[in-house]
Amino acid sequence: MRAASHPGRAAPFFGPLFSAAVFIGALLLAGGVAEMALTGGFMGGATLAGWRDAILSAGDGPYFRHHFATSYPLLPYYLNLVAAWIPGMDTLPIPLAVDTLCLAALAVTLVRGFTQAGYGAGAALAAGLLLALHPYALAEAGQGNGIAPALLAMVWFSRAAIAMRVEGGVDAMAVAGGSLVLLFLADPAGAFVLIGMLPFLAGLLPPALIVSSAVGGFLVLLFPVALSLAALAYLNWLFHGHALAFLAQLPDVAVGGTPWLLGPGGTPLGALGMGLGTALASAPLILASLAALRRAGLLVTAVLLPAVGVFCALVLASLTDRAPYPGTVLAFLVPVAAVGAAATGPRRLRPLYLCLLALAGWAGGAAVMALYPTPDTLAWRAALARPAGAPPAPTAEQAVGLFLRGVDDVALDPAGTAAIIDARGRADGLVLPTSDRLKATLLMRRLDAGYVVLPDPEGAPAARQDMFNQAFPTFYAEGRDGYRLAFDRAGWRVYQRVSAAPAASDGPAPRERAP
Amino acid sequence: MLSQNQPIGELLVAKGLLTVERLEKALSVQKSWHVRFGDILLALGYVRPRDLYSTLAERFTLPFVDLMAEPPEDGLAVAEDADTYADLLVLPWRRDGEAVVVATADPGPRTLQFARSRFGPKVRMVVTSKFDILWTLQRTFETEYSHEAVYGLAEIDPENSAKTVITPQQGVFFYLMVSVLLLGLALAPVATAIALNLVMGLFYLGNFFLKLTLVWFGSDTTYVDRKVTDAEVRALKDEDLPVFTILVPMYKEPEVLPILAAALRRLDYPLAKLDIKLVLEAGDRDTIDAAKSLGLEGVFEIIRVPASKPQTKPKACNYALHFSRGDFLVIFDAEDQPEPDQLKKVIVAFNKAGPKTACIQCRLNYFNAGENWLTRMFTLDYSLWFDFMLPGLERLRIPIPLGGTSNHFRMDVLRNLRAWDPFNVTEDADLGVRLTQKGYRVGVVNSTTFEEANCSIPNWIRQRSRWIKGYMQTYLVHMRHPLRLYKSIGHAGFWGFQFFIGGTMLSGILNPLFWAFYALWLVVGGDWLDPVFPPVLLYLSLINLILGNGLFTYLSILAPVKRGWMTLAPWGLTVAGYWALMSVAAYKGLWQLIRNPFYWEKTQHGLSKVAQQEVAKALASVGK
Repeated sequence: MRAASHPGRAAPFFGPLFSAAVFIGALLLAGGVAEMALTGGFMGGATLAGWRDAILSAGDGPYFRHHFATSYPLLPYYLNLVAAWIPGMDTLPIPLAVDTLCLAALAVTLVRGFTQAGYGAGAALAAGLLLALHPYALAEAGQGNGIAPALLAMVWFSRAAIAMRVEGGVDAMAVAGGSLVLLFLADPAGAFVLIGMLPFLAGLLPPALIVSSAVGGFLVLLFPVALSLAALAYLNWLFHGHALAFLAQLPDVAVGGTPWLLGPGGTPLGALGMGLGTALASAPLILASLAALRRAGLLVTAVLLPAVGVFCALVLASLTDRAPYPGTVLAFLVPVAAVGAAATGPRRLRPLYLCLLALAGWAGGAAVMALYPTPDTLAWRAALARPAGAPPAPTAEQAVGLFLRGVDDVALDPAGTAAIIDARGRADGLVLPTSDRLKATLLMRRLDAGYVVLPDPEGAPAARQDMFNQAFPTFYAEGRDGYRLAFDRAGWRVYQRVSAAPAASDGPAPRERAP
Repeated sequence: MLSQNQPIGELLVAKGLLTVERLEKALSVQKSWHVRFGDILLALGYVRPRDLYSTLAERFTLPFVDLMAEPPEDGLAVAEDADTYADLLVLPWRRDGEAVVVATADPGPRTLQFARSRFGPKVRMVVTSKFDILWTLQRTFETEYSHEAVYGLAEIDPENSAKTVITPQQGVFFYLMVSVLLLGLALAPVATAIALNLVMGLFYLGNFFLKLTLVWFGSDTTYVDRKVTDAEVRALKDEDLPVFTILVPMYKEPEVLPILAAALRRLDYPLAKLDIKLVLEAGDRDTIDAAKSLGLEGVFEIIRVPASKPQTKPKACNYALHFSRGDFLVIFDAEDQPEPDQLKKVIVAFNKAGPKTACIQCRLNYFNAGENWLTRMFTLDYSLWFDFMLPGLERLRIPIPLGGTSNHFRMDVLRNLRAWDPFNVTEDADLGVRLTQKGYRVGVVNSTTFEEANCSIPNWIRQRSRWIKGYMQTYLVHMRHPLRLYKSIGHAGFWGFQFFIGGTMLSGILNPLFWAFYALWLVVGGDWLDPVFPPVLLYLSLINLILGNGLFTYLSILAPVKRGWMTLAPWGLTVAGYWALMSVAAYKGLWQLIRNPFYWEKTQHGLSKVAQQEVAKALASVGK
C-alpha cells in the first residue's frame, strides 16, 4: 500500500467500473440495513433532528443563520444540508442517506487500499466490505449519527500517520491535520478520539522533525484543529454573543450513561482487561497487523499509536459517561485495523487470514453490541429483527406532519417537533421562532399564525418546554379565541385560525405574572 | 627545440609555461570532458590566456597580436556580423594591401571558411586571445549592442513589451470602469457597494482555492521532490554535456562576489563547458575592480554594459546575450549559491521534458533564514512559492512567473523570443508568461539556489515594491488582448494567470481596505455594514475571513516542513505582519507604476551578517 496521502496507484482491475460496483454494492448493503430498520419502525433521534435541521436550514435563512455555527457536530450538519439541496433528497431521512453514502465511500476506500497493498479482488472486496460495514458503523449510522464521515476521516488519518512516520511527507502531515479537524467536527466520539490521540501524535511525526522543533511538529498537526475551534468560537460570538455557545449542544449529542467500562470490570485492572477484550474482539486485525509488523520499525509504531489513541479515547469517554456502549468509540479502531492490515500486505498477512480476521471482528462487534445493549441499539436491532410485512403505521408526529403537508403558515417549536417537520418535508410555510414575526408574536402574545402545533404539556417533559405551551399554557387544553381544533391525535393537537383578527392577547408574559 | 607539429600541451611544457603534472591532469580531464585542450587549461587556470594564445599562434605559425595594444582598423567589422564574430571568436583586424588580416582566438577550418567568405581568398589570419576579441567587440559595437538590448523586443514584438505601460484601449477600458463605478455609487450606492463587495469576495475565494490547489499538487513528494533523481544525474556523461552559459548581472555589489565565485567553482560540471559572464555596468568601478582582484579563472569573463536608460538587469542580460556561447543559459544573482549538481539536474530535466520545454526554474531559498523575523518570513514565503506553488503551476499548466534567478533557458528559444523585456522590472516573470503564450513550456526542478534573504525592512519593501510593480506591468502587457491570451494558454492557464499574477498584486492592494473596515467594525460595532453584507455575501466573507486567512497561515506553517526546517514553522503564525508589509510594498509599487514605471529599485545585498560570514568562507576557500 502506498501510504502517502496523495492517491496512489490501485491494482489494474480497480478502475472506475470496479470502483462504482463496490460503491453501489456497499450502498445497497448499508442502505438495505437502514431500510430494514426504517421498515421495522426505527428512526433514531439523531436522524430526526438532523433531518429537521437540514430541511429548515435549506429552506429558512434565519434558521440557517442561527444554526450554521452552533450545530455540533458541524460536519454532518453541513453534509445533510448539502443533501437537502439535492432535488428529491428531502423525501428521504437525510442523515441516514448521508451516512449510507459515506459508508459506501468508506468501503471503496478500504477495498482500494487493499488492492493497492497487493490483495486480490476477492479478498479486498470481502475484507473491505466487512470492515466498512462493521456492526458498530451500521448501528451508529442507523441512528443517524455522524459516524460515517468520522470513520472516513479516521481512515485518512491512519493512512497519513503511516506516510508521516515512514516517509515524512508534508502532504501526509497536512492530511493528518485536516483529518483531525474532520474527526472533531464529525462526531463527539471523534472528538474523544482526537483527545485520546493527542499524547501520541509526537510519536507519529518523523523523529528528525520532532528533534528539530517539537512545537513546530505539533503546530503542523494541530493548527487546523485550533483554527476550527477559534473559528467556531468567533462565529458563535458573532452570531450568538457567546464564544462557547456551540458547547451547549454537547449534552444533547454525547449521550450519557453509566461508565460501562468500570461496570463489568469492577476494578481498574478488570476494566482495563474488559476494554482490551472488547477492543480486540471488535478488531482482531489490529493484533495480527501489529504482530506481522513487529520487525517493521517505523510502520509498527504508525499502526500502534493510533490504536492506542483510540483505546485511550474509549477509556476517557467511558469514564466521563460519554460512551453509552463500547462500539461508540471502538468503531474508530476498525479503520485503524483496516489501514494497518493494508500496510502489512499479503506477504505478511495472507488474504485468507485477512478475510477471516475481518469476519471475526464483525462477529466480535455484534457480540459486544449484544453484551452491552443500549436503548437505541436495542431498538435498532429489534427493528431489524422485525419480520417484513406491511409498512408500520405512522406515529402521531408523523401523522401531524402528513396532515400539515399541504398547509402553510404553520407555527411550531422545532425543538420538539423534528418528526413532524421531517414528515411534512419542507420549510416553506413554517413560522419558526427564528423569524421576526414569531418573535413578535411571542413577545406580544398575539397569535396570528394560520396553524399552531402543540404537544400535550401533560405528556412528555419535553412538551412542557415547547415555547407555545410556555407562552400560552392553556392553549393545548382549552384552545383560544379565533382558533379551532383541526387535528388531535395521541398527545398532539393542531389549531387552525378561523377569524381574520389576531387572537387576543393572553396578557403579560408569564415571568411578568410570576410572583 | 620547439616543433610546430608538437601538441600545444608539449609546447607549453617546453616553454616552461605548464608543468608536466598539470599537463597530465589536463589530458586526463580532456578524456572525460571532450573539449579543446586549451579551454581546459584556461578553465583550470593552469596557463595565462596570453601565454596560451601566443603559443597557439606559434603552433600554427601565425603572428600573435594584442588587440588592446593594436586595435582593429575602423570600418572593417560590420554590425550585421557581430554575433558571428562573437560565436566564432573572429574579428577583421587590418588591411594589408588587398588582403584583409583577420584576428581569431580559434584558428581552424570554420574561422578560415568564414573569413574567406567575407574577405575573399587572400585573407590572412593572426591569432589573438578570446578576451581580446570579446573586449574589442564590445568596444566596437557598443552602440548597436546597447540599442538591441534596450529596443530589441519593443521593435520586433511591441505587443509584448512593457515600453508602453497602458495601451489606449486599456486606458479607455479603465476610464469606463471607473465611470461606471462612480455612476453606480451616485445612483445606487448600496447596490454598487454590494456588487463591488461580491466581486472582491469571489476574487478572494478564487485566489484562496487556486493557491490551495497549487499547494496540494506541489506537496506531492513523488512528483515534485524526486523529479530528477541522483541516479539520473550520475548517469550523465561529462562528454555529452553541452556548454552552459552563466550570466551574473551585478550592480554595486562587490562585497558578495566571492560567494558566487566560490559557489560556481563548486558546480559539478566540466569547468571548460562553462561560459560564465559577470555582467557589470561600465561605470561600476568598485565591482569591476573586485571581480578583477579575485583572480578568477579563464571561464569567468567580464562584460561591461555601457550606460543607457533604462538601467535595468534585463537590459544588462540582453547585452551579455550577444557574447554567450552556451546551448543553455542560466542567470544567477551575485550572492547565489546553487546546489552543485544543479546544472546537471537541469540537463536531465530538459531531456525528460522534451523540446517544447524552453525553461527550467530551480527553487530559491535562503542561507540566512534564521537571522531575524523578516528573513524567517521571507524564507517561509519563498518555501511556499518555490517548493509548493510553482510545481503546482507546472502541473496545472498555468504560466509560471519565473523567479529572478536560477532560471535555465534553451539558448535558441531565448534568442528567438528576443530574451528579456528591459522595460519590465520583473522581466523574469514576464518571460515565463511570454514563453507559455508562445507555445513553450516552463518546468521546475528539485534543485535549490540559496540566496541572501533581505534582512532590512526598508530594503525589503524596495525589493518587493519592484516585484509587485513588475507583476502589474506583466499583467498589463499580457492582458492587452485577453481573448488572444485565453486562446494561447487555455482555460486553466488564463484563469490561473488572473489569480496568480493578478491575485498576488491585487490582494496586496485590497487587504488594507478590508482590514480597515473590519477593525473599524470591531471597534465601533453596530449594524452599519449590514446593508452591504446580504446573507450570501456575509457567508462568503466569513469563509474568506476565517478559512482564507486561517489556511494561508497554515500554508505558511507547512512551508518549511519539506526542508525539515521545523523551527521556522511556528513563525508562520505571524504571517499577517508580513502581509501588512506586502501591502505597503504593493502601494509603493502602484505609485511607482504611475510615476516612474521603469525605475529599478535596487536591492542592496551584503547587509546580512550571515552573508558576510559566507564571504569570509568563500575568500578563505581560495586562500585570499
